[in-house]
Amino acid sequence: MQNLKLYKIYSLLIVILLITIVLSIGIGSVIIYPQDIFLALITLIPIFDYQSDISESLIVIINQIRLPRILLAGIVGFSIALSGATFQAIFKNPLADPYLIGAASGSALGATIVLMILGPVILIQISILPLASFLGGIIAVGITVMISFSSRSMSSNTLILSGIAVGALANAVTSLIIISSDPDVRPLLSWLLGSFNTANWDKVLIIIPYVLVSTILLFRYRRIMNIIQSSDSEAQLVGVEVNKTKYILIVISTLLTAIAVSVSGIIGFVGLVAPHAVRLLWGYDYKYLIPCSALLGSIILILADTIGRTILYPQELPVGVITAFIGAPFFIFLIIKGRSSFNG
Amino acid sequence: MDNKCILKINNVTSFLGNNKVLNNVSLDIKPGTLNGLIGVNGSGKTSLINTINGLIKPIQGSMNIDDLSLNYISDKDISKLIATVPQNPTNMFGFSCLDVVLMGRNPYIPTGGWPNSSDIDIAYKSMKSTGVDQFAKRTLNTLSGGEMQRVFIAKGLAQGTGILLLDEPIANLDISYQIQIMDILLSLVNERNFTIITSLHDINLASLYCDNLIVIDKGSIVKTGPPVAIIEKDFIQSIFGNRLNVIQNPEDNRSIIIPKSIN
Repeated sequence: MQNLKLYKIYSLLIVILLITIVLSIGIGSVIIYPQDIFLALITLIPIFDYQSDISESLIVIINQIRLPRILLAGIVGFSIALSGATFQAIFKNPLADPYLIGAASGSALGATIVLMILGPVILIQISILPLASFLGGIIAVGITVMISFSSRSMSSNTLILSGIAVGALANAVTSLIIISSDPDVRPLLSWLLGSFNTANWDKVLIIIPYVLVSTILLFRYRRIMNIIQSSDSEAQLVGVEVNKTKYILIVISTLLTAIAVSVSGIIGFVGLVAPHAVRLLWGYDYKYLIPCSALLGSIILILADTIGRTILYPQELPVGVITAFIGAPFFIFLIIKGRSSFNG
Repeated sequence: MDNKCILKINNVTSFLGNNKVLNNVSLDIKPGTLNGLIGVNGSGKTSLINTINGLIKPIQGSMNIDDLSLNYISDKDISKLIATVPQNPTNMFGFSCLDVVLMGRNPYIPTGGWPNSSDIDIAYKSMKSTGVDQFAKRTLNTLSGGEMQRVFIAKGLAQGTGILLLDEPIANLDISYQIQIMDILLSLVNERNFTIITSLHDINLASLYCDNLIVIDKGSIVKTGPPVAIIEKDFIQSIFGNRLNVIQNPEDNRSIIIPKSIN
């Protein structure tokens, strides 16, 4: 019974995701209709060896511009939401979001430093950037956690406050580096502000293995995430190695954030909104909270990016602006609604 | 299942931060007995429980279950030998009672795995022995305090251990629920040969139900023995203050403790 319901939820989210993808491929300066999208996609898959009468330019738009961008947005949304849901589980804090605890800003700083050192050597950049982002992110999260532990008050808000402070500092350093950089390099850094307008297949292919491995590892910890929602001592009493588990989960979820930042910059609030929407709709069990948050994160970010690139066409709004418009009011709603339970 | 086990504690000293919470404690627990841990607030009852279950690592001394030393085994292995119901277990919002009881099966489930049908079977049996199997699908926060406490005891039973530790299991409960919980503990000892150590504020309930009382004061064990040997006026006053009287219950001649009249 329970499992039947779960499959319904998963199927629903996957169907919505597919509809979102088709819709987003179709919308833009050139409107492409679903049947053309379908035929073009078949043409693009070599094993079908199918020649359609769809114009070459449409196929180029789909294959070179829209599809990689949509897939990148989808994978990034998936990663950030997964990362957010996991941070919330580790810190037992419903406001823990990769952006709010400093992981995203630290990752951006790591990526910026490497870009400045290496300069515009595109290929090397995209393979080394995820690791540089990860180092920046894990240092930022480490500092955030240390500050919140050393402050005597164990209020869950201390974590968020120190995360915001660490994030602000990292952002300031990043801005300083960008402003003092060579004007030729500066455009290369613009994506750090949160955008998919430099999306391409290389970026998609570079991040897939990281996201895949992290996802598989995180999925293995869903049952343990439920157990650590009790208390550290209660988890230890049923044999959970609490500290080891938390370190592993912090590393994986920071890696997911870093991967996302290394290809699309800082995009706030998706890691907050997606898991919370899942909680409101389907409850608190991490067994399905983790996969559902990831799928919903994909959907939200593809939609946000599609809105961003079309709403003021021909101008493009960075996707981070759209997610802030959705996420910031949601954040305020959570603070007001949860005042009694968060301050515990 | 054969629950034959014996807990031996030798000269254990442990610290919580900079405070010495247990001072050279030695204790010998016989299998299949209900042991009540009594003492004033802050005397070290919780610290003793948490040293036995491994939450506090002693800096000195040894602990053995049968002939197995607890000093060097992992938390996971300890959780297969000793189950603990802590003082105020977290009311896990949004989880069903079955979910919570199944968390007690964690020591037997690999990291990436999920409870199998035998785990679920054990969880239901555990809930049945504390009388909460009918609440399996209800979320924990919809239950009363007494019902919730029985769910947490079931979670402990699901760990499949021979030893069960409880920290103030009847605090904050009405007297009828206190008796209900104590009856459950007694039946676990008598019918399933569990060895139970439970801290209790209510000395009268402790002496009514327990085979053995352990009196702890300032981190040291001052006396252990059957209730008749413990509930004695001079000794009780030396531990709990001189405003107490020990009288005989006319019904069964049992010694009971009551506060002295206010003049």
